[in-house]
Amino acid sequence: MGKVTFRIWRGDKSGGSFNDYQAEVSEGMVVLDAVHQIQATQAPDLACRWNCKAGKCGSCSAEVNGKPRLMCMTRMDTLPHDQPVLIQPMKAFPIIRDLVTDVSWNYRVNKKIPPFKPRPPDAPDGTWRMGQEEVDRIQEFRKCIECFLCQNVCHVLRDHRRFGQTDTDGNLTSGKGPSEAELFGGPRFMIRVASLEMHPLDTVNRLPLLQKELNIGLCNITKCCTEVCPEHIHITDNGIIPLKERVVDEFYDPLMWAARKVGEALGIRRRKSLPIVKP
Amino acid sequence: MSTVATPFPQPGFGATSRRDAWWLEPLVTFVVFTGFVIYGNLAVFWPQIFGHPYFEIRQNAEGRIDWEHGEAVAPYLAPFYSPLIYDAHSHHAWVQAEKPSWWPGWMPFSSAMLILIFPLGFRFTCYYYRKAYYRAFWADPPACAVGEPRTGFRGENHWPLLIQNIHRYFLYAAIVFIFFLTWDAISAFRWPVVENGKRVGWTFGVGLGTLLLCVNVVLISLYTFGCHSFRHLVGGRLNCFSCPVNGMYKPTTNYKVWTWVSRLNEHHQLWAWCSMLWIGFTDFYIRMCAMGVWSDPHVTF
Ligand code: SF4
Ligand code: SF4
Ligand code: FES
Ligand code: FES
Repeated sequence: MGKVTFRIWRGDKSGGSFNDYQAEVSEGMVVLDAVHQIQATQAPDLACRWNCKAGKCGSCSAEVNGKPRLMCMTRMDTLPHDQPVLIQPMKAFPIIRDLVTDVSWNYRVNKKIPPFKPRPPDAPDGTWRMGQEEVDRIQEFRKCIECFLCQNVCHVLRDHRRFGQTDTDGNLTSGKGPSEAELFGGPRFMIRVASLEMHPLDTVNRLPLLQKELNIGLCNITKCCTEVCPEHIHITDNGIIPLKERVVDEFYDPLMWAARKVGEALGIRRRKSLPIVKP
Repeated sequence: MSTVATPFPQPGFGATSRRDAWWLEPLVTFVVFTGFVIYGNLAVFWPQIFGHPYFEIRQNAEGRIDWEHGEAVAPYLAPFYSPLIYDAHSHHAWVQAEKPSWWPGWMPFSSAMLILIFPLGFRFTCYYYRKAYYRAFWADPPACAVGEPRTGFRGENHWPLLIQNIHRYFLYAAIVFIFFLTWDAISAFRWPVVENGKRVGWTFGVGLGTLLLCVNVVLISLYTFGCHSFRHLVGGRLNCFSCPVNGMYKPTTNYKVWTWVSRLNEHHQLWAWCSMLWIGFTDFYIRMCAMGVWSDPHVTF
């Protein structure tokens, strides 16, 4: 297929620029192969993170010709060869060097989410029962490989910089503050909460967290997260919007509020999940 | 402020490294939605602009289009005027009067003004339309990984966009409207028999307008029943789809309905477009028949 020019961003947090490299492109190659070739032949100090080369570890996230992508899953035959292929690090996160960014902010958001806490075991042997239908629904969210491409493309983070406030140790403090500093959890953590909230065995209510700390209301459902997800998770349709609807139930819908009050007065317990043992 | 800094400065409006035609989709959305809003306004103010509302086809004794002295010769009601609450002559009207007695004299009136808030509110707060107009009209963002014109952003957390949270109430109204539109479609088979400019009876018939109105109901239903709020209501709100009944794990009715709604929901955008364009065209078609611009092919039995 011949020689192709790659225009790769080189630099660190003090600044940088684009450098041009030539690489020999052959059948079946992906962008990450070309980057490796350039490392091997012309730029041994080019920094790039990768691990599996199979779209499963989520390390090689970058922006190819302006689109957030996994380099290992972007085939060269899908890109035009007559102009330089532009490779940049993810723009939303702080740069470490070249194509490597510091995504640790995401792990700090993750820490705010209370983990799975199941109800007491259903059976005397300490096991639980659940139906296949429930498993099917949340399975989709568990495909996430934490590539953070969705976090990178989400305009609430990328353009509006709603990374929230951090204390001196770099830990996230409350999301609420002056409105410019409202934390947005980002799509990856919306679907993590979805996988827990829709879990039939889980007992924690994370709706106040979603509304106040992760600020689901900042998402304006413009669906860029869904467009870039390499695992094709329907982040917006199956994760964020259903959660928004649950947040409406809890905080905005006057009829639901009235129904809850009546329920409480009559002593009806809210059914989140039913602990029932299969015979 | 944020402690996360990047070497890439806040990009300006339209700034991007993308090379594809990212502006095409928002542009098409902008043009078509704007066209629809303009047509919607025309429909509402039809009586003021064209002299009469022209929501049904009226002819006089000589068989000529005549709004004032004519009688309805076809069963159609232009969908933007359905349900027709006030009209002095039409057999579709709920109240046989020109307009409500409490209507301020200085204010222009058309029956569409009383009802159009419901379908428009439904679409305005629809999750798909929100995506589309936030992108195409607000440029927030114009497209993925493309710079925005403004730095300030309040999401849907604050008034007035907080109102988006009551989408489900518009859904309830939209479900009621499906009954009205279904009634219109069924009635479109029941043709008036008119002699000397007076209706003397009814007969069965089919016209092009009948078919348009039937397809209209189907498309509106596919759109309405794929609504995200509906999907939540019928089952999405539950964590348990197969809670044991008598100890057996069986998919509940909730689950089955949720699965059907999910299938429609996957193509919600498609149904949003089809139903919008179709209802607009159907309304236009009937209005043009009513004004005598073209005539409706039909057979009556
Ligand atoms: S849909 Fe919401 S979370 Fe996803 S990219 Fe858009 S604003 Fe961000
Ligand atoms: S949801 Fe998709 S895009 Fe986001 S981190 Fe997970 S795999 Fe990546
Ligand atoms: S290298 Fe693992 S996802 Fe690309
Ligand atoms: S989400 Fe589109 S109609 Fe409700």
